[in-house]
Amino acid sequence: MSLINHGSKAQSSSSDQIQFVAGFEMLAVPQLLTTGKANFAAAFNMTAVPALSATAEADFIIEFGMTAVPRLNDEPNVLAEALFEAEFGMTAVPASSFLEFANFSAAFNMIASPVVKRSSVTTLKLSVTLLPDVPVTKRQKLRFQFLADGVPVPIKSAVIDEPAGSTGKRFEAVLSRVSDKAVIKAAELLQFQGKINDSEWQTLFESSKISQTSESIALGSNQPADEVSFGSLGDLNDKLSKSPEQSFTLYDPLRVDPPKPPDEIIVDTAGNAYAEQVFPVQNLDLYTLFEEMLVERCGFDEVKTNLPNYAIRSVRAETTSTIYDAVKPFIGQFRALVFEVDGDVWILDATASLPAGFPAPRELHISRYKQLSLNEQMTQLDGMLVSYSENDAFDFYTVRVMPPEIDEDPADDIFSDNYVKTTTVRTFYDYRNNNNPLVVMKTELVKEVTTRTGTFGDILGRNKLERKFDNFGREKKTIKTIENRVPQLPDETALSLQIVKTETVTNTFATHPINPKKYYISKVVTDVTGLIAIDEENKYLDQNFEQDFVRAHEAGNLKTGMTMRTGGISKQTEKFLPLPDGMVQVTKSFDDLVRKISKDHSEIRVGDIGLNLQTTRQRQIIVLPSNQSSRTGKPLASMSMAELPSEIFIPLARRELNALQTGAGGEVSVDLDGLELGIRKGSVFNMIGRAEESRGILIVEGKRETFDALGTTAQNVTTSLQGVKIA
Amino acid sequence: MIYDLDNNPLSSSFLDIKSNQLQEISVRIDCAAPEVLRCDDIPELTVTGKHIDQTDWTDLETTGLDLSEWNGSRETFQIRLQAGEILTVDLVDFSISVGI
Repeated sequence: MSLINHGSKAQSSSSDQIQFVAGFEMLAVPQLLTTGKANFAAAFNMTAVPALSATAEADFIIEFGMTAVPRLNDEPNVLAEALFEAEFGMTAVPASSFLEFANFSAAFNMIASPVVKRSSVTTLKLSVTLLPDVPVTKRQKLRFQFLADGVPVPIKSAVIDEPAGSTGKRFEAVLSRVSDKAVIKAAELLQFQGKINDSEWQTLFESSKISQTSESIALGSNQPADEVSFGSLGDLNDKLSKSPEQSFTLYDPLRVDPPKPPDEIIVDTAGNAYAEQVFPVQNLDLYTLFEEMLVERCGFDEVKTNLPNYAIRSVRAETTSTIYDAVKPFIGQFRALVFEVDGDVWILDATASLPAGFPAPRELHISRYKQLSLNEQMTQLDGMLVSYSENDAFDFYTVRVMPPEIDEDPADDIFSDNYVKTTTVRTFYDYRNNNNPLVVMKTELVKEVTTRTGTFGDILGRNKLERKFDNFGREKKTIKTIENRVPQLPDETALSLQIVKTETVTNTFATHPINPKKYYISKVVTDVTGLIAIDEENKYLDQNFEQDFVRAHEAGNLKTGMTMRTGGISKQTEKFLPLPDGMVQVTKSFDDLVRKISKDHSEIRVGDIGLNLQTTRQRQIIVLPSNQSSRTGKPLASMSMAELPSEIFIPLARRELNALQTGAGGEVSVDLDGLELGIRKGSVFNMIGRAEESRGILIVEGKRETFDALGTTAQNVTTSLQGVKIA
Repeated sequence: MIYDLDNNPLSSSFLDIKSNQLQEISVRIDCAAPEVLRCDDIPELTVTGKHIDQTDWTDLETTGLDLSEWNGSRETFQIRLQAGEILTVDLVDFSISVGI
């Protein structure tokens, strides 16, 4: 049974639900503008070409062959959720730029279109500091306590240090009683807490163990002045210091081939074997990487970030470094600030600027400073030279026609008998991406017309080459047309320009049976049509004798009385089938359509005919301060953006360039009296100077809190901040 | 795509908000039908939004603002964040998104 449902007869502009089901074959071509849900299912072969412009859910399910090409007038579709599922062959070409979720699965052959844009949702990530309504005054009533397993242990002084450029938090303290050394060494939970005025106790530092102690025995003012100090690293250090037991790689199977692990399996001295592991993660991106690495493997409860998400091809964690080391290359471009709050790891973008349209950040008034220093360095730069890697995938092409290329021979004697002027006009497609439309991803020659003329402009011959490409940029058809001056039999013996031959090469593509991410050219058909000379007088086996007109003309076999027609001259079909072990079966057939002669040939050759739909290349681009800027002879700074897409790295490069040019990015250090619980790494302040003027916006990159003379009337607390000016 | 008022692409930023305070931000958005402006559900905040020419605010956490009316153009939208009672310093992260 077969079901053919041509939607052109049942056109609809909206529908709640459409369903096409067939037992064997189905061709479904509905033209729907909006629909709630669309299902296409068939037991054997299906071609579903729904012109959907918007649908909440689209399922394409088939047991054997399927071609699903949902698109409308070559415009992007809007598919909230699309499922493409086949047990055997599938080609899914949703060509969609608005697709929230897409699942492609097939047991055997599949081409799932890379034209699908993964990030259909544009996101603005915000990190918001929530501040209690506590009046901040210079006079603070501060109380502190140090607890070992919940039991107070008096200390004389303490320092909590979160240095800029480091992820960890370090606590150092001096015990009031030397005898408490044993208590703190045995404790399983160390906490340092503080409270401002009548607020609740807040934990300023917490760790499960001390990492270092030091002891001094001394005499001061005729009394023993023995001291025990200790240090501890916060839990963040522990989690970020974890290494994998065996090296592993996460990769996106939709974008890259599985990495080949080393052949050698490493063993330890106890005889345990460590084989490198490889995990496919579909749609691997930065947020998935955070989840896999920092939550699953390092033990954080959650990762909170305002870094933008982007697709990642693969990441490798090695036993000789930490898991966090494997994450760093993907966040380093943002000068990421990493810190822990209540078991969650925060990763913030330190390059983020204060956007126009956002309220000014909270003020850090001069009355709160003990000291503020600001070092700004302005660098004269034209732009940022950015290195990045990009797929050859493209969104659109532009047409470029080159000026005619003219060759005259002999060039100095137009009236020579053998003068020929050859004029070649070429047309190219320049393939580009929406994100970076000025950059040409690749160029293809699509049309070439070569015209040969004589002394008086008379056309001697003309060759035309046309190449046609599919949506993936693959050459699906090549047409060569040859025009020559020949007699027009039977009446005209004078030579006139006619199309004597047209050669059409048609390529058919199929999913590679061994590697589903690749495709191959499964069939090449070369059709030759043109003029055929007919000799009705000198018959061959009682039939009119026909032959290729051009050959007959070249050989001088044309005679008056002969006629001519246009028809098929020859057809050659080459079929290719990839076999295991890098072999390929090639079957060729040739039909001489004029003389009715056919030949067949089959052989097995060595060679991989698989082709990648996408390739990645390293590229560079100069990012200027704005689209209106131009080079003025000043040097360029440079940045490597690795896999960041251009819609993220161009604004990022401009922020960094602005920081270098204007001195935003200058180093700031501030010492504050007292304790400020609302300040963390990543906090942003408007620095207010003596004349109530803004001295710029500071983002905090490091913080050090010093607590002296604790428990005495001379108690002194200082908060020192290190950061950069971002505006 | 989301932009700031100077038309710079905007992917991340930061804000402070005090107890019971209302903060307002303005962004520009490339509108396309049938996309919707939404916000994650954040217990600590109520997030509403509107087109600059509208008078009524739409709850972005539950309803979302349909952008179809401005299909094909870049428009300015205002987003309000209303905090409730905040007792301790905290950090929250969330997304304001444009999609279907």
